[in-house]
Amino acid sequence: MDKVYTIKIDDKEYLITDEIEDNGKKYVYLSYVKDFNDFCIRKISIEDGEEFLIGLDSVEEFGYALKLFENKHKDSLN
Amino acid sequence: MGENDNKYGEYFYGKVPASSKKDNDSIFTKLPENFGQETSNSDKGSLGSIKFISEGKSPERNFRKFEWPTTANNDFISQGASFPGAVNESVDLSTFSSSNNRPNNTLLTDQQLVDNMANSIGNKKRTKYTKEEKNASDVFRGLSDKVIRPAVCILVACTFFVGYLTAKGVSKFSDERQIYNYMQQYQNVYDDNIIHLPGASLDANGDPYYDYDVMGMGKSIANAEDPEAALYAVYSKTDYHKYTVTHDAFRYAKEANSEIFGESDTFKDYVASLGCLDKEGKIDYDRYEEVTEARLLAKQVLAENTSSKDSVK
Repeated sequence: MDKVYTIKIDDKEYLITDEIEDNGKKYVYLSYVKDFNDFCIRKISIEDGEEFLIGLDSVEEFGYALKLFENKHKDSLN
Repeated sequence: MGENDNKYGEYFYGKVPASSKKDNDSIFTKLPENFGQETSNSDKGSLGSIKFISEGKSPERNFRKFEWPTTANNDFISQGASFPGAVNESVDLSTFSSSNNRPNNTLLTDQQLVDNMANSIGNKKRTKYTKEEKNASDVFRGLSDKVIRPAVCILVACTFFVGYLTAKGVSKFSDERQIYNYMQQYQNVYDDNIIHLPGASLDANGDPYYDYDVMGMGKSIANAEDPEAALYAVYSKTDYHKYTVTHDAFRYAKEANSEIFGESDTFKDYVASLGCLDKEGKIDYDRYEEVTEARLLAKQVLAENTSSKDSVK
């Protein structure tokens, strides 16, 4: 049986669509399982050895994270 | 209430910022220059074999619509696209077998782009990263097309935002400046509704007590191009009785135009719809500020992208 990973944020269940590491940062791409038009991007912050998801800092970082995703997957869709 | 209505109603209607949007705004004016160059039809763009269709000038025109490919000529599906989180999930071609079987949820509106961006950059809440492993069928309920759609939806945003940011040069961006510029458009919703009455009520410190025409603010919000931004202008610029003024302005805005703010009847309903209540169900005003500023910033990006595209033409 195929496996997927999900996480609950604010009682909404998100599919972990992807994780991408770049320059020491790891971005996590999340899609709401009930509506995939509803997605968000978080990054991982490590505190006391535990991983936490936090929001991105700016529009620039949002665009940068999208660019990473696009670079990784565009070939798969062409 | 009635007197204020007669006295200020028309005046404040006239002070509402004029719309800067053009009637022919289309999502396709916001796409990168090279978008759609794989197709010979200039009205269409493509993301691989997935095509976008311009929707003309209907009120619902501002969305991207996927034309899901059929199985007859479909490299995308035949290659069996696979994404992390959906490892080795097979694609059931029958779900794409005809246009009648397109997935229902294939539209990504401007508002959704704004919401997704705001949700990404406006959320300061920390969430412990605890993955839960599940069977794909439990999550997707057997609809294997959904495996592909999360990545497709994100790629649509990639096409839009990355193209825009690249064209503009990301170094030109300043969040504070963008928000400030956006808020300036709605500043007069607040400024024009301050009433300087002789002998205005003063509180115990000698400060003005209630120096606003809140009903006028509500009507201005109701008629603003972006009620959300206008409401936030009232909230962010009001010093005295900030929360009362905001709640009342919202109520008057709804009375003036019940269509705005969706199904939210009160300011608290509206804030709840943004996910800004705390664990006790009370309004988290700090969170409201974070989310709203992120949403306004996203809208500003959309608006600036439209204007930059227009200037190129």
